[in-house]
Amino acid sequence: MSITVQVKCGQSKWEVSVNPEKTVAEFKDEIAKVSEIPAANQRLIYSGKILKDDQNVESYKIQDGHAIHLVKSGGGGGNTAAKASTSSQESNTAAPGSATVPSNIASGQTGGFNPLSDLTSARYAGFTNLPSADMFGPDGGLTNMPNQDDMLGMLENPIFQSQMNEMLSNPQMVDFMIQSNPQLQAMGPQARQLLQSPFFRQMLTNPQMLRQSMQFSSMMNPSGGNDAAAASFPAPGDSTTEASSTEANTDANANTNANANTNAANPFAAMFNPGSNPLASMFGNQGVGAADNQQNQPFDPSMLASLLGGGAAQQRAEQDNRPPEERYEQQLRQLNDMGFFDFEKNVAALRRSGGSVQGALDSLLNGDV
Amino acid sequence: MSKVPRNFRLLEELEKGEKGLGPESCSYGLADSDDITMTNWNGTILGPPHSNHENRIYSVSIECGPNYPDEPPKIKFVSKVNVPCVDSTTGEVKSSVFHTLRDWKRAYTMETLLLDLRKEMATPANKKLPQPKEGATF
Repeated sequence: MSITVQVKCGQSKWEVSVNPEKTVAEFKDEIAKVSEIPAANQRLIYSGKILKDDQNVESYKIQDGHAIHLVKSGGGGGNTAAKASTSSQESNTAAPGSATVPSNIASGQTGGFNPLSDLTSARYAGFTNLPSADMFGPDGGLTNMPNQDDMLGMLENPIFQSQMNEMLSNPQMVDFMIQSNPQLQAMGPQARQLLQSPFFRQMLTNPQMLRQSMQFSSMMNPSGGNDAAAASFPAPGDSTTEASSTEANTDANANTNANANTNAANPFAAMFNPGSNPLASMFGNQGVGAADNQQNQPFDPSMLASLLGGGAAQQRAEQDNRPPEERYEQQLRQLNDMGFFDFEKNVAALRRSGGSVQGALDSLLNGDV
Repeated sequence: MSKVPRNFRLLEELEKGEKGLGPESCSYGLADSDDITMTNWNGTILGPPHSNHENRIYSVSIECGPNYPDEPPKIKFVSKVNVPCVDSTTGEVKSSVFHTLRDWKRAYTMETLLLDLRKEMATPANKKLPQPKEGATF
């Protein structure tokens, strides 16, 4: 009876069937057929052991489906070949951020590091916080994000906390997080420092801190569309909530709070300018006493939501108004390295992907831009 | 705070090692697959490129005591290597010098340890150190 093992070498992977009674030398001959690496230049590693030619495959207790690492040997003529291959592997993984980390060439199927693959591992057996029934929408689909309480419950779960810690102490994971987030990417080496700093880790794993920041963000951004947002949505005439959220958007001083509805010279004047704003009628010149009239005014919450949402979008635009060659400098260089020289196309693709090189590559290769 | 018990942790690491789910640059597995206490492990580190370790495979033996992962495992080089944190006569990685052992955290795994050792070999201070002939053992 033969077993099938996966032989991994850098980015390549082969499935090789072997009879366990054969010797390692014979097994290497089998591998040589598919990998085109001469048996003499092969070194095989399984479970931390270097396989010796004169032993049986059986003696290493290799099971069906297990993985064996193949390393090209550095001896004799193989030396240059192996060198060339290691350097080409490096250029394959040549993301600028990962250059400082020894090439942890992923053994994953797609050649990329996939943190989600961990989710299927045994460590999650019996993990209790699988989606509960109330996470599913009325149509049975997963239409709602977990609400705040579920989220906090999860955060307080010690297993989740230890996972979080483990994740952040894994340099590969940190790399991945940086790679997949254009903002972190733009921060360069500081991003890694930040993610690995004990303070940040504590911030991510301390439920109290997270609760605060979640409440803060739901206050700041009531257009989020979930029920928490609805709760914090200001009632008409409730000028304190209203003013404080607008104020958060514009960074204005808390003292303008009382003036917000009355004083024409205040920083919110433009926002409440009659004619330009659907809410103008609410706030016009009626002052704080407008509450009486508000019953008569048609009030559309979505308008306020869009107003606040618009404010957020403006802020985002402000952050990103650097010219594309500056904003996507690193990504563009990477694309250039990969042989995409059309600046306009590259920028368009990067815009579309939100700065992700991977996404940009997809659209470039699909001819979407 | 609940913790993942030792044996669950080690079983998980064993699975990861056997299936090759981790990075390619290191490998590890039980020294004796019948050892139900999962104490003695073998590991290999693939020498980092652009250093004197390039294309070499270093074997190590790892001993996970009953208090692993609360306490760091003992790790010892089988292949001869010249790195400051490794005792030059016994091959033991000195826990007082090597930062991953000194500042051991529960979340660390044998993989963390092997990768950090590999990183240690690749530091500018260590990568050009003269190395003993390949194949020599402690």
